[in-house]
Amino acid sequence: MDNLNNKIKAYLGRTPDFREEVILQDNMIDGVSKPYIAEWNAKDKVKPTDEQLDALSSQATTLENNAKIDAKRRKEYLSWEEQLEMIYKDEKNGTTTYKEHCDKVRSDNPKE
Amino acid sequence: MASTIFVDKVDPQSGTALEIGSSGDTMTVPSGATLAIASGATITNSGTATGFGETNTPAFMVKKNDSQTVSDATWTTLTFETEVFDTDNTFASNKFTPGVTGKYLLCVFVYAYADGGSLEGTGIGLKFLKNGSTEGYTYSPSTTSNQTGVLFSRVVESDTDDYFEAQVNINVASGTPTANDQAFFYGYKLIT
Repeated sequence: MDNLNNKIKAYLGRTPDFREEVILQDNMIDGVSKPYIAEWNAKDKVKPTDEQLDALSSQATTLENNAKIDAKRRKEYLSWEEQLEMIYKDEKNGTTTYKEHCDKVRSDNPKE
Repeated sequence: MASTIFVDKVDPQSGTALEIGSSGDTMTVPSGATLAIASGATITNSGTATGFGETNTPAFMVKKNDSQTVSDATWTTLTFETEVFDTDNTFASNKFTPGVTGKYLLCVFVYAYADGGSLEGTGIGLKFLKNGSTEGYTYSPSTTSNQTGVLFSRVVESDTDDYFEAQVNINVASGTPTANDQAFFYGYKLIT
């Protein structure tokens, strides 16, 4: 896949509403994937050209990779119940288990 | 030479049963004539009745035989490799082209997941295209789980050359947006 949505995020500098602001489509003609911008309703910037989007490939890849890191971090942070338990015990015992846990998750999964 | 009997009413000679013709005969109500069944009368069919009413065809059902990876947050045409049935050969190249004017019920189902990641909270979208333009869509409730199933149905109108496709929109937080091999798409003509 050509990472078109992340190129658009990089171009806008934010995540647009992909239901309303920017609508992407891929008609799979002859079974070949070729996504394109079907509708551009974003007000802050004009619709980018293919060349402008291609120039953002590297940034789009970074966004994609960081999203994977975010997902991995979310999993390793554990459930909110477990985190609250750690915070409670730290408050009660004067320890720093929760902070150390979060620091480890972040250092184990650095962003680009 | 055929002979003609002119009477205004035929009744059983005895009892209440009246039989017309014999096995192998054909009874014909000629063109322009009307066979009227009065209110309160009953017709009981124990044989074979043909030519009455309409049929729900053209009708088709197709399904996937493998998963389909798609671009993130992009309306993507679903591809279907297996025809369960296709009464009038009106489904080809992932398009349903009824060829007969009328109203049709279309239904599509997708089980979507983020391979190696999780779905974005915006949910999974399904839509029908009519001649390449949107003909109604829906989104599943928001989910950040790894997978969810969505079904979408709609009545559409077709003329003799309209065609219909189904598209999916899978938005992932991470991982590869994928429609698994359980997806199906069916449609049939409504009797109206």
